[in-house]
Amino acid sequence: MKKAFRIGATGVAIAAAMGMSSVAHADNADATATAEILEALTLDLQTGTSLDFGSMVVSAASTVSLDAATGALDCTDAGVTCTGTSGVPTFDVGGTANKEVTINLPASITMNHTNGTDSLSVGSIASDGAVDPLTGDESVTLDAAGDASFSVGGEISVDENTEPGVYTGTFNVSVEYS
Amino acid sequence: MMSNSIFRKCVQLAAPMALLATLSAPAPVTAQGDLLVAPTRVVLDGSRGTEVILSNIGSEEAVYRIGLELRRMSPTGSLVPVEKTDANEREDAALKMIRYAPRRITLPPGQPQAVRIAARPGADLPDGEYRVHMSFKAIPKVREVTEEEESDTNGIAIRLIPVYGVTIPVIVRHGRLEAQVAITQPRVEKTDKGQQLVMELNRTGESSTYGELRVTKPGQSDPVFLVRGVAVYPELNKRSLRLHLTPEQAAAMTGPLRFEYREMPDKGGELIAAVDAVLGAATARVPTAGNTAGAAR
Repeated sequence: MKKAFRIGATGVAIAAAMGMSSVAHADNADATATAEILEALTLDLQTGTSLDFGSMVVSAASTVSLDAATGALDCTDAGVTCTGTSGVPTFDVGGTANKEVTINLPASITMNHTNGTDSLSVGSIASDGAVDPLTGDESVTLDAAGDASFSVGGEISVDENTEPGVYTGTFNVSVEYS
Repeated sequence: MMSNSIFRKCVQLAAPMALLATLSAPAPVTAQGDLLVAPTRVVLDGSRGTEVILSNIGSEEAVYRIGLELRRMSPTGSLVPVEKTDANEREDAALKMIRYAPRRITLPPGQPQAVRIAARPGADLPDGEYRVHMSFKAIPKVREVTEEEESDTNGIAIRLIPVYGVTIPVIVRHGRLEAQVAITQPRVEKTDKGQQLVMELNRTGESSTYGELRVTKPGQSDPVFLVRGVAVYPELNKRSLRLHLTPEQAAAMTGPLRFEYREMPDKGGELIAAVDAVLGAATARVPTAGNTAGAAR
């Protein structure tokens, strides 16, 4: 379970080192200090992970997909050859133990070619979290230590007319606390 | 990374923030935009404001944008985004009454900063619960496409940058509000993803409820199952809970059981609703007896 301390201290210079503060520490700094323990919520992207399809050379209409659960690239369509490294971004969530949180992802991402005119779309964006069978809403449940992780995958459709080059885009990943 | 600290703590001083020691020398290739937010929900009743702490737990300087967004809870408990243009009257009023600052924060690694929040309800505002969801989002740094990437003209290369963040509910309770919840039909269902504990939370009144759901066996104080942070918002009269069970939990979910929905322990743990039921082993039965308790707030 993630906690943060809110310490009220008046006119006292506390050079607090992040990471290992405690209530006792605050008391040492100022006898009148009060500490309030707050539930905290953390989200971080695991270092070095990203939604990366690698590079593709296309000769005919094909679909390339990244599986959120395994991170595997499906590049089996005949009209496309994939090279380079690929992978999915993995996010770590920390918060209230045994709590379910919603993950919101965009339905699609539009990426723009560096030439400024061409674009390409990523669809079927999904996490490897639990999916509500009725609504399709995605969620993860934090474990007894208040931790959970999820990854995000997607799918690109390309064909021989897709302009070669670099496409860039951003996409929103939102963890919703209730 | 989560593993490098079991307990993340951040310290916020009422005295000037500049007194905090800051960490320096970020690692060269690291995630940028990791964040900590505390507390995880804000309830404002009255004109007194509060603060939410935002801390950069990444290892690079990051710019964060703080905004107000709208969410509605679906009957299955998901928080579904709602565009501001589609806001209803109550959501509109909530957006208008909540003041917060700052809206954009640049933080070096390890550095926290407080975001102040207050509600300014109009004099003629009808009693009720008003809610927005405050989002904390890291703004990605724009990286130029290198010439090396540009020259790779045979193929298609794709660069996708996640803009990631969290939202927490900011709730304004205006006037004296009440809510009652009844737990109905607790049962265990077999699904293709294993066994799930399923039940409905029926809510009435003007207020939301928030707490933990505990399942206990008679004579045992430790719950056989516990979920925390279960919210039922006022836009819902009925929320279904569908909770995944481990095989051990599923095995314990038989016979006479007590299902309790209580306020969170740090809010006093008051009983909101309870029902006693006898569950069968493989398939669920209709609960044999039930009672509910109200929670005034």
